[in-house]
Amino acid sequence: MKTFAAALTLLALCALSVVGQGQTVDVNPQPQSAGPVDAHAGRAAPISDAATATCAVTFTSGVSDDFLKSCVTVNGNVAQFEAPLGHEHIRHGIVGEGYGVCDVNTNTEYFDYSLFGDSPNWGAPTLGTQTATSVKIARTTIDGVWTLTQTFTQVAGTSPLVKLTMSLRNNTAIDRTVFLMRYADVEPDHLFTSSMGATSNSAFAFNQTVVGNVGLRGNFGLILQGAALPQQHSPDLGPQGFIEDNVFSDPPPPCTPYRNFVTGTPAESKGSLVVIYQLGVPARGAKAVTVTYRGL
Amino acid sequence: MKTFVLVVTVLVLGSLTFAQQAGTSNAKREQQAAAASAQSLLAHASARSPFATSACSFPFTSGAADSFVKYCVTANGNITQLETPQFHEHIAAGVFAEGYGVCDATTGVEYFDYADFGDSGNWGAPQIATQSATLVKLVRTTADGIWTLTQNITMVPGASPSIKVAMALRNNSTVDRTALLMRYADIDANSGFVNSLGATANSAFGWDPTAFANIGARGNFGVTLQADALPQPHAPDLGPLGFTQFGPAGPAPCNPYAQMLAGLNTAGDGSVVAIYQLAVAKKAAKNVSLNYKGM
Repeated sequence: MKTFAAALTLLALCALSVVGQGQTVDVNPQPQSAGPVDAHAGRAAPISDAATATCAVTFTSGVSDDFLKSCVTVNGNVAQFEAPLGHEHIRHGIVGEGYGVCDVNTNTEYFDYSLFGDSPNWGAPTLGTQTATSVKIARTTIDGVWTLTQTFTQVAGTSPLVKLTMSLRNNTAIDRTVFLMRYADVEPDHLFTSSMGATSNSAFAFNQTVVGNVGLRGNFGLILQGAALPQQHSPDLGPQGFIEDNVFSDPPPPCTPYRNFVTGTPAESKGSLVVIYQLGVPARGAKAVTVTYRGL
Repeated sequence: MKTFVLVVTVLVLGSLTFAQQAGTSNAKREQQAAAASAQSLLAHASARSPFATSACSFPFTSGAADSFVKYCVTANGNITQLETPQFHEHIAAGVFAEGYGVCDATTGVEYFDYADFGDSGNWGAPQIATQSATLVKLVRTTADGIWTLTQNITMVPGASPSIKVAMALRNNSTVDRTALLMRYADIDANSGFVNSLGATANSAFGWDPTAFANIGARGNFGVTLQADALPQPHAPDLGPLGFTQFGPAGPAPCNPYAQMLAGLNTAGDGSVVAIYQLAVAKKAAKNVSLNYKGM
């Protein structure tokens, strides 16, 4: 009987291992018809009346190949990124871009991924300083624990970008640890399926060059890059870039951010990009991180 | 006895699973070793003049830890080392190869210098025009006197440091000419010969993909070669176009797409290229600029 039990245990372990491999394989199935997948993604996460993809502030710079048009919603989502002229990478299908915070102390999640859903525990945003190239938006959680202040700056040039500084303030009297992440459902050149990749600093999606002709400039992409932390030691960690496979149809839950994590380099996949930090935020203190969106 | 057989069978199956994982790791090591060997053989087979070198003449360093960048430029204007962030090298692994190629489309003559992957043997000696803590300016004229390539290679420090390579190609002759001008690098991201590679119209990049869902495990990096747009991109001035190659050696300037990889490469030792087409009027010059940046 003992032997039989041991055999069953081993069989179960082996089966689990096989299942694990099966799951790994299933992470990258054949691309589905993109439109329905994206539509499903938009409905998968909870969404409040506050969630929006409407442009509140729009920035435009450059012309032709140096062109960049970006826009920011009232809640601080980058709802449009067109670079160069005529090549949009976010505002296609259902717009999904934004931020997530996990309060590790309490396991409470706060997120706003535009039309890919938001948590209903954010207060109304406050529009701060606004210039021709930048806008500051502050938002406090309804429980009053956190204030996220985002400064968006469009940097013009031959390789234009949107610089995004996220300062997270702990309004309470106790030290807290958080995961802070930036997420984007990128559809380079209006493509629902694209090539994707990620490193420890960045995550990117792109429309791969397939024709050897210097005159055919029709394929571009977008990279979300996290700037290094000034002092890289625990509890402050990151950034780390990774890609998600949207077959699971939801953006990263801030307290289980790796749920849809994909390793490797999937080609022609329907996915999204994440850059994540872990921060120790002292009582009544703030920590800031900077990420950039740049055309590829 | 039946139970015993079952136990043995299950044990074997379980072992196979673990062996499969170990086998993947071994296969990767073997793949890397094979790629290193192939690089070396290919480099030895490449044509080279006495000028060709990968030796570091102008080293540059800035930042620390994650903002760190260290690179070096050869006397001929090749970037044969690129380390960013600290301890993550992307070019100086195996065969050190980076450089420039020019095709005179008017005559079909090629000029190139790809460091350890050889040169065309028809360049004159390089001249150092300017040198500072963040910049080196090198000038090189082809042996036939038709072209002069002036390179300004500048370090751009910061939280996300980069290297700006400005190339001015001057037509010294008395006839208008069209040229293909390209920048190439054999990227070995994180000193690995087998990388992921991708390209768009603006850029080409090689990287070591994020492998672990762990924010503390920051060990995967890469580099992108991003080409700036032309001020007026219309024929005969065209580009840039980024593309990847299925081999580590540089492109033949007058047949630049011969090794082009049409799609992602995730299991080979490849390289990256950004190319322009320029009409260069007689006794005049055209400029392009590109950037190497960690990713």
